[in-house]
Amino acid sequence: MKAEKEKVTAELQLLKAQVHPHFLFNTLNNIYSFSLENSPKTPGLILKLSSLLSYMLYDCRAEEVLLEKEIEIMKNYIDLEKERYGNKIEISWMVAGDVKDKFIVPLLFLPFLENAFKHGTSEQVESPWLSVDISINKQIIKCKMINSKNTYVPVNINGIGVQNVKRRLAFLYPGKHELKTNDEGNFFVVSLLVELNDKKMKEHAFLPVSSSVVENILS
Amino acid sequence: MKLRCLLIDDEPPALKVLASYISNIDGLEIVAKCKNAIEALDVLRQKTVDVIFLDIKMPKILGTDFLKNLSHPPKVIFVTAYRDYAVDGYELDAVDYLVKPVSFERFFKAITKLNRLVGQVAPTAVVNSKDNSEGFIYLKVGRDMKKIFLNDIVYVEGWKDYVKVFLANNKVLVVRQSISATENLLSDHMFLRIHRSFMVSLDKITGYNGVSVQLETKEIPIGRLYKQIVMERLQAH
Repeated sequence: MKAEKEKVTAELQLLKAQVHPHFLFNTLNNIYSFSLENSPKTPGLILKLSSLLSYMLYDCRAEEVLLEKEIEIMKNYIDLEKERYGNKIEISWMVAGDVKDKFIVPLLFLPFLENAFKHGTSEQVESPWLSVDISINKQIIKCKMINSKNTYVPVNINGIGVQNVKRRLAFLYPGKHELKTNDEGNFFVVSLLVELNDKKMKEHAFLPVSSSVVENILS
Repeated sequence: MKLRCLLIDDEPPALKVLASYISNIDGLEIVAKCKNAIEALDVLRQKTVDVIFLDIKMPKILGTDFLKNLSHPPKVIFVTAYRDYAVDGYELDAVDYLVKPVSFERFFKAITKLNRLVGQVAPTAVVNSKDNSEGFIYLKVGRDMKKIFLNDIVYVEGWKDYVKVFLANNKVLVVRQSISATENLLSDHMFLRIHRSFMVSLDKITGYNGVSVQLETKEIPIGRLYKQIVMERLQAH
């Protein structure tokens, strides 16, 4: 029983770890290209990357993170990606409901967001756009991500990132999540609903003092 | 009166960033920039300092140790790449603990806190515009992709293989896609399917009863299968 549990924990750690390098190197590459041109955008991008890194390296060691923080990181990621595609892509961003004092397993939405950017922008699309619509109702969080796409190009959503999230959802929110994907021709919808665990943040065995904790201590 | 700042950091670029932030805020002036604790002691002996911006990991003497040895320490804001010292910072009564790289916004927050502590009026702020953009979607109308703000949509009526989207300015768009596809596209917390053939914007509802929903210009029936969900949502709205 204990061995089984340890095995699951180890796998979860690994799955979580796989999310990181990919994002980071993509972003670094963007920043590199901006720095080559001495773009004034470089400093802002570095700060955003820094906050993404700090999130992945420190905050995400905990089993659960503040929902507010996860949403902030999504916004950060969007800003970074937006720069990468120039301002060609239009973004609709909506957050409704009370995000405060809720905890969620980290990095569940990011892989879908990454997919949305990949499919919504890299292929020939007339007016590329992307929508993130997060609504929170008590312990239920629903995140709907829509991206424009080329009608005739099917979307492959079985990449490693998404498979990985599916595994994690099955482990961490068994019977408490719902993932739907719909290819509607000129747009693609991913809708992920998660019923958050109704408890306070679990023990932070892995967590050194994170910046958010520090702010609480000092304020 | 301006708050007199002493900057201590062994890395010149770090000092440069702090200095440039400080120069952008009224009410702060730099007394000296020091590369280590020894230099800083000299400055403290000769000049009045209101606040120290202090790095922690420095050769020879740690910033925290330096601070512990001051008999009348000024206010301190730690600026460090290490988050592990935060507890020490707390014990040493630091005003704030900034983790590098520090954004101007975060730095400004620390200064606001500092001003509150020393009883100064809040400094003039560089106001950040909120980026809560209005939600929108794109719909294919004829051959064009049209950008539609969600706030402009009053209701959607589904026909066999197309939908009519009724806008607040009384315009009607005909879009070649099913109502289910449209339902997928629209935000769940703003729109509600109330009938096999109708979706309405919750904000545009002016009244309702057991069988229908009223909008400013139209009354729409509630489908039998949707009734329970619709009533729950409308009562909660």
